[in-house]
Amino acid sequence: MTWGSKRNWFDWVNGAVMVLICIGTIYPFLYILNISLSSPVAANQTGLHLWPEGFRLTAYRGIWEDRHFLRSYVNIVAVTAIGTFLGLLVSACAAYTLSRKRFPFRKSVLGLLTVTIVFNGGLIPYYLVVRQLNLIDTWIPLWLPVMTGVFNIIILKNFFLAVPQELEESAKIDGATDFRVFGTIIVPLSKPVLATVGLWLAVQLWNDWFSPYLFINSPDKVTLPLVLRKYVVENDLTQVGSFARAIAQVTEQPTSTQIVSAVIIVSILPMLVAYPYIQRFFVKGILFGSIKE
Amino acid sequence: MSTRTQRWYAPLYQLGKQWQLTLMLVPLVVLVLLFLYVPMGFLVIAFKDYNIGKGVWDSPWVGWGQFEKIFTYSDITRLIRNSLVISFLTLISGFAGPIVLALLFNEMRGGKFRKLVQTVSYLPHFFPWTIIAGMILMFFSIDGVVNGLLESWGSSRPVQFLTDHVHFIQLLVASNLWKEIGWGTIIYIAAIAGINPSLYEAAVVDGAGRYQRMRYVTIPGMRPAIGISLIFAAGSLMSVNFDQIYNLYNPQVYEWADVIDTYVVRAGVLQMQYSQTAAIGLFKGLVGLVLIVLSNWLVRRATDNEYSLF
Repeated sequence: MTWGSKRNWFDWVNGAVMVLICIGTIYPFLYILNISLSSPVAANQTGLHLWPEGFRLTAYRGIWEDRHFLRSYVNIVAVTAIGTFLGLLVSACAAYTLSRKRFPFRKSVLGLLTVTIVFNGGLIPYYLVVRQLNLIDTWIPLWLPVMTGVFNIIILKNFFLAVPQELEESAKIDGATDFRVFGTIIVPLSKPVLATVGLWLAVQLWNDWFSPYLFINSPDKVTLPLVLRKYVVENDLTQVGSFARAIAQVTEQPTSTQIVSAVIIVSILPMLVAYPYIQRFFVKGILFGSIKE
Repeated sequence: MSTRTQRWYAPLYQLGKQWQLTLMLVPLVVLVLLFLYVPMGFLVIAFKDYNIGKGVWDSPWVGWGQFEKIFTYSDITRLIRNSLVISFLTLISGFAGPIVLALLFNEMRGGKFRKLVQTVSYLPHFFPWTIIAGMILMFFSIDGVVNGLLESWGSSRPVQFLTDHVHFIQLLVASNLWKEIGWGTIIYIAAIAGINPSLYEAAVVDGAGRYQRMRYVTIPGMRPAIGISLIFAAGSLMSVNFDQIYNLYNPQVYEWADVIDTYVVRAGVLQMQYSQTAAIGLFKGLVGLVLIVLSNWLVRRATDNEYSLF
């Protein structure tokens, strides 16, 4: 479609709104970054903090020395990696079966899954079931939401349906089993959607605070979001603060705001670094889902 | 076809023949039954006086006792009121915001700037509420950035963003909008991309200006997406964003910010009042279900059966 080439006042207002959106979104993160890198004196001054003043890394070294934080960081990497793999495996296998029209219970299983979108038992019964199965203080409940995510399964199923039927038929004639068709035809052809859903699961796992909050107790199984809440929301910095102070001695102790800022930056770093490359995958996933529905 | 496959057990026979497909589906079905359907069965504890030691079956029945207790107990009306107020305000802004923004995106002339703005606007969606809440606490506390700036611009008193309930609810609505508005546009952008370009050409031939094209072509093209979003939004009217509130609120705003979900976690998980909170959860779930069915019916009526969810 052509809009014509003349710009009127609407375009200028619209452009201004867009510029404001960009600033409003990016500035808070930039502010946090600058505060975490500034000297304590500069960080304490009010102002816009458009760049770091008196560059210091003390807050970051404080985090680095904090074994509890490091442990939770290693744990979240492990939970995210294993969980993404498990989630993709369970969802993709199920989605493949559900995309085969010759499978007799296809409709009933899909119905069974759809019900869970609209109604569920709620938090307390779910908690009690996990408890009854002795899964408290294990990582398994952290992985459950990604393994039973119905929306992901529907997206995968729709994509598998679009793979030409002839490919499967000819493989079948050559004697391929279902496992083989799935592994050597469906999966390689579905890399884009698998990458998309995998990324969704990874972000979901990395950011999930509620499941570990409910189910994890022991310090050596704690994941990053829990430590984040303790440091960032409850502002309980006794642990990390003492490390940072010990390093900086008396004169240049990082302020608690600086430590909180550094903790925030470190925990969103993987996302920030990867975001420019992966954001289109996220969008693609929504588009697969909404157009095919 | 042989007689064998026409019997009642024919599907089961098929299942055996397709054992590889069956095997690939089993893990999911087991997980879904165990962790999504068994909890629905556990909802019976809403009608019992559940005791962990006795277990679900041996705990005594109390019929509607738990519900009577809840509804004679004054707090529930406060919880329902807060849930409705907060989620209604969030729903209006969170529903209208992305529609307006998607229209504005569509009116941009494309190109790199548009891509950039869209990419940037999706960003906050990917950060968890623990982080966003931490940033909000940092920016909006009494001695935070915003008050510092207000002070340097001549304001005499710090604004109590976090402890005054009116400001607090405004903050909830605004931060939710900030976080999700960009991401919310995607479904509408997809809908707009699906509009047949010849409709625009026809509109131009008919002498439609920019605003008329927006009004008579673009907005009608977004209707299915709007309908679906509305159904989902209505279904969650009784739920609010738990992570957001739980990470932001404090006892000073409990009166207006304590909602069903936060109460269920505090009373149910932390104080182990399982039966009562399960009853509250069941009540909330049923209201949500009714709202979804109702809004689905409304959307179906309003769009001649075309755009409903089921």
